[in-house]
Amino acid sequence: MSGVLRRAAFQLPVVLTLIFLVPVLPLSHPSPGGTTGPFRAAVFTPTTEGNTYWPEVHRVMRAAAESLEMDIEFHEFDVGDRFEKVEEGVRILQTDPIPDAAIFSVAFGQAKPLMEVAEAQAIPYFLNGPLFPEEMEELGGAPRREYDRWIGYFHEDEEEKGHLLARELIAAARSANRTAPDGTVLVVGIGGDATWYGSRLRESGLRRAVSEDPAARLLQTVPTRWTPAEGREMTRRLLARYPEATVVWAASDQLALGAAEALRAAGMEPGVDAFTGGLDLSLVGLQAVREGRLTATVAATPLIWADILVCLRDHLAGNEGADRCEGIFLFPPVIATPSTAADYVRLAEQFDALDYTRATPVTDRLREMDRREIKP
Amino acid sequence: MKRLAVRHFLVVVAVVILVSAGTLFYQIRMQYSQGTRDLKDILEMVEESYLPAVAAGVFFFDDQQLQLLAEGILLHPYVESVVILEHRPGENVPLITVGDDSAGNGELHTYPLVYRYEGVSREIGALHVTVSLDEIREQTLAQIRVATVANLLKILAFALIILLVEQRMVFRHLRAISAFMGSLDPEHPAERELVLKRGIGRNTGGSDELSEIAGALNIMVRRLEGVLNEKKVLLQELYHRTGNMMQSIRAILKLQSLRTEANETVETILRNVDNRILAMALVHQKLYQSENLSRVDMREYLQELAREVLRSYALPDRPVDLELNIEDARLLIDTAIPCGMVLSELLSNSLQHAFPRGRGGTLGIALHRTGDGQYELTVSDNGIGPGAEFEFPRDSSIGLQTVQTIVEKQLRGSLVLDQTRGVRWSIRFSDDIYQERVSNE
Repeated sequence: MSGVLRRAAFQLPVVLTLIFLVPVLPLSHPSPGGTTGPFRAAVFTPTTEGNTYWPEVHRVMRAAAESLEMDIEFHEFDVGDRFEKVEEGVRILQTDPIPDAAIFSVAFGQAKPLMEVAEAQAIPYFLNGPLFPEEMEELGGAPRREYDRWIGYFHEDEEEKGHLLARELIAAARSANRTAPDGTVLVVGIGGDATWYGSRLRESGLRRAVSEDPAARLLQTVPTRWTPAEGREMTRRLLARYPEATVVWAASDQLALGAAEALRAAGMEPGVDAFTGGLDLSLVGLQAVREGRLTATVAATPLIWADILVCLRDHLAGNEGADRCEGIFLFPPVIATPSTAADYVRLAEQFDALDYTRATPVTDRLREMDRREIKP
Repeated sequence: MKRLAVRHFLVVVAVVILVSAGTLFYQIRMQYSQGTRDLKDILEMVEESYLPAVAAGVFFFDDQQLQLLAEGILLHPYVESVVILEHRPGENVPLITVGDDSAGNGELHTYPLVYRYEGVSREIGALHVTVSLDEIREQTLAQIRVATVANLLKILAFALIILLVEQRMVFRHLRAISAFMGSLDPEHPAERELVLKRGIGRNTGGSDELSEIAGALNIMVRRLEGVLNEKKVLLQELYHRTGNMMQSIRAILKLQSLRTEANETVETILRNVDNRILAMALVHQKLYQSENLSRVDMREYLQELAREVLRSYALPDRPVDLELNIEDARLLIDTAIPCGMVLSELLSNSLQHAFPRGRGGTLGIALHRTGDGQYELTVSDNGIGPGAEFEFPRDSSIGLQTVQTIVEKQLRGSLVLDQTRGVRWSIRFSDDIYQERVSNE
């Protein structure tokens, strides 16, 4: 599927969600059969200083849990201390009240110890990636092969995210005629934490976009640990090294916002003299796109996390069709540009009001998704 | 001997200092060479190991890594400062500076930072490493100071030990040999044997140089005593025979005088000749009888000579007394014989002229040391004296002229005549104008 077609296809469910779900009042859902009290789900996610992505994910999941009459607890761990996450996660999974289910969003080397504890405690769980291929192979390559309680593995199409954003930024620069004298659009990239495989995939997308465009050239990328301050500082230094660069590709909305500040500080107007964008589809990112500070923000909608929670609920309750959630899921991204950002903002503002007991368009799509898109 | 020991001590100290200084210089040179080799290795290591990481750090703006790398380089010896620079359009911007780069006496090494990105090598900055051999120099100087003091102490201790050992093993024995040689009895040199107080086993079976010297000295001394004894015997025999020959001459003269008709002049001449031979014969007799073959006991000699001269004049009608006042003195044979000749002449002169016509009197003979180390022989009589018109040496007889010649030529002394009361001859002479025939020292 080409990138253009994907973009159109993935924007459609969002619009449908806005049309069909927002007016509907929350419906009562059947109680989980044979259980006493609501299901408890534990969610392990990373965080960074000033992070804007994960709070929105938590907000969506909290809304979904409330809608699904589930209890949910979030455990955030700083990406700077991966060991703390494992140790604390193990302790939580072994301490009463033991959660009924879990979702692990992990970095390199963190999955296996958490999964082993979950297996020992008979806790079903989802794993959020992407994981390095070697690590994935060590875990059996797919759910249910070596770990019985491992329901599903899901992640966004990070490579495609990086690719979409790069294409959008290069096109914007070319449209504004912000090119080198030879017509080449000069690109610098601010990547994320290189210990997370998703960062590498995002940069791969950037490189693919540049390689596809003969009039674009990638000058350099630099890794960061996601903070806006790093985005600002790295942009400043990259611009000092490559003052002719007009595209600053950023691996997250936070980094992109820092880059926009640095552009301004360098006397360049974002969206006019130079172009930057992020990869989170976060509210602040969407607002910045609307204001013209960012050219685009690209990611899958946070509703995918609500869908995973629905899957968990069905699995715990033994509902019919629960097996549809088992396996590997790759969520393609959507791109928010100044022309579409307002729609995504409106959607995000409705997250708390959605009825997650009904199948959402995203959830429906899970049933139809070609699971072979991920090659473990 | 002390001078030899000190000289030896100084030679040992000088040699050890020279050797130590040479060794120290060699060690310092090796250390300095090692330092420069280490420095070269460090610079090569920086170039090979640090440069790629620094280039990557600069390329990716990894200041934390750059700081660690720069501090890592600075930890190496001799590195004074590290500066990491980034090339930017139109300028080189220092990113990291560690160490003291203001010292100014270091040696700057510049390495270009090249990073290969997207298949293209880019020179993105430079690494400045300032190194200094000051540390080596300071270390070397400190070691020189310590080594010099330590070596000096060691050398002094070593030399003192050597000195003490040599003092005990060599120099005290040399002093013992010297003392032994100095204390040899000239007449009986082999009376004592040289025995060195050596360690156990050295006195008996040892045959080192000192033992050989001691043995050789003992042999030499024994041979010397044998030679001395032989010479003493020969000399005594010579004196004996000389004395006998003179007595034989006197006997011949006596027989001749008896066969001669009474003639006073001839008798006087013969008596004078006899007395002169007597003076010489007596000396040889005394020497023959003496243990000392060079010196004559003057008291015995002069007393016996005076009595013999007095007896030769056979003066039963003239009572002449003899007054002797002779100090205990032992004079060399070459001094004693002239003294005896002078005494014989002066006594003969007094006996012939001082007491005429049956007049009696006293002859005085005295010998004593004067304050200036000389001897004074006094021969006097209380006779009639030579008379007012007599003037010495103008009116001297052949006998007195002989006396004067002997005193002045053989004794190299002086002769004074006092004729206030009789006659008083004073002869001053020294006993050190001749050497001993046989050494008694």
